[in-house]
Amino acid sequence: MTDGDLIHKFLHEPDSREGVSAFNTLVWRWEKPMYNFILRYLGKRDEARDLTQQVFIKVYRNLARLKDRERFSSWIYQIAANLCRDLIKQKRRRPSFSLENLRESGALEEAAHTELTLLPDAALHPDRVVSRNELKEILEKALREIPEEQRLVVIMKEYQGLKFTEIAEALGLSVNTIKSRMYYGLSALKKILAQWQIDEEAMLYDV
Amino acid sequence: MTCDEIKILLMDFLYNESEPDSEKLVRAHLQNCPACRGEYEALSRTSLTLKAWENEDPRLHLVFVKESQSWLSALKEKFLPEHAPAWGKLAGLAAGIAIGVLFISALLNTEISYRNGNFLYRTSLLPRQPATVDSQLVAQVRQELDEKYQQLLLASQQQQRDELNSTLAKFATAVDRQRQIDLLLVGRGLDEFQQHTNSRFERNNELLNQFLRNVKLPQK
Repeated sequence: MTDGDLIHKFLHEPDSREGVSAFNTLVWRWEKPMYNFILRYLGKRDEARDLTQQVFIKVYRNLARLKDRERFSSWIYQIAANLCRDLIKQKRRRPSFSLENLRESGALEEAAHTELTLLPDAALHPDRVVSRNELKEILEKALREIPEEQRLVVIMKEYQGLKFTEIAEALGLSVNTIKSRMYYGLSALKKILAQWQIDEEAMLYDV
Repeated sequence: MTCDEIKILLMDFLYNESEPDSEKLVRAHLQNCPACRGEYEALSRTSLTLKAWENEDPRLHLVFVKESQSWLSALKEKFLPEHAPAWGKLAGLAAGIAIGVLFISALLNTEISYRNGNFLYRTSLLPRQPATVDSQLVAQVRQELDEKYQQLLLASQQQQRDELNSTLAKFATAVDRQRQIDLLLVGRGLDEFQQHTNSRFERNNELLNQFLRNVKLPQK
C-alpha cells in the first residue's frame, strides 16, 4: 500500500478504525526518517523527538489540504524543514542555556571525549582507527561546520535519499539552486573531512 | 563545456539523476579533464563517508488515537466543520440559527392543558390564532344569561316579599296575643282591687257600727 493509498483511506473515513489505523501506518512509516532528518539538522535528540511529534500533528491536521497525494514525501519534508527553521529562529531570538546546549557546544564533550578535541592533531596518527560511534560524532560535527542552507540540502540528499526535484519542491527553491547548494556543501565537507583525515578508509578499520 | 558549467550536472551524475544527454556530456568531460575527474572521485568518496552516519531508532512509537468527541464538539463539527469553506460555515450557522428559532418558537407556542383527567399537549411553530367568536352566539348567550338573571332577580324579590309578609303576620299575631294577655291581667287586677276595696268598706262599716253602739250606751 502506497502512502497515497493510506492517505486516501484516512481522508475517506478519518473517524473509523480503518482510517485511524491507516494514518498510524503512515506515522510508523515516516517516524524514523523524520526523526533522523530533524536530528541531523538540529543535532539534539530531545528537540528531534519533540519536533517529530509536531510534524505528525501538523500532518494530521492539514492532510486534507494536500492536493497531490503522490507528493506527500516533499510535503512532509517541507513541514519538518519549516518547523526546524522556526525553532532555529526562535532560539536565535531567545538563546537558552540548557545542559544539552552545553553538551552540544562542546563544553561537556571536552571533558568526556578528548579524542574529538584532538582531531586537528589526528595527522600525527595517520593510521588511527575510528569507531563507528566516533565517526558518527565526527560527521555530526563536520555537518555543523557548513552553512545551514547547504547542510539542509546535504541531509535531504545524502540521508533522506530525496531527489533534487523533491528537495526543491519541499524548500520552495529552484532545482538548480538545490544542486548548487549540494555541490558547495559536499565540497566543503570534503575539505573538512580531508583536514580531519577522515575518509571512507577510516570506515574500513571500523571496529 | 567548461569545468564550472559541469558542476551542476556533476551533482545529477553523482546521484544517478542525469538525463541521458547530460550524462554523456559529463562522461565525456570527465574523460578529458583530470581535475574534474579528481573532484568527482573525491566528492563520491565524501558522499560514501557521510553514509557512515546511520539512522537512529527514534524510540518514539507515536500512535494517534481518535479521541472520543464530546457531544458538543461533535455537534459543532457536524454543523460548523473546521475545514469547511466560508460559505459552508455561513450556511451551517444559518441552518443552526433557523433550527434554534423554530425550536424556540415551538417552545413559546406550546400549550399544556389538563382536562377530564387527561393532559393535553399541543405545539405549533406559529402563534395559535385566538378562536373567532360568533357574535350571534355571543348575543344569544348574553340574552340567555340576562333572562336567567331576571328570573333569579324576580324569584329573589318574591321570596323577600313572602318573608316580609309572613314576618308581619307573625308580628301582628304576637301583638294581638300580648294585648289579650294584658287585658286579661288588667281585668283580673281590677277585680282584685274591687274585692279589696269592698272588704275594707265592710270592715270600716263594721268598725263604725261598733262605735255607734258604744256611743248610745252613755245617754241612758
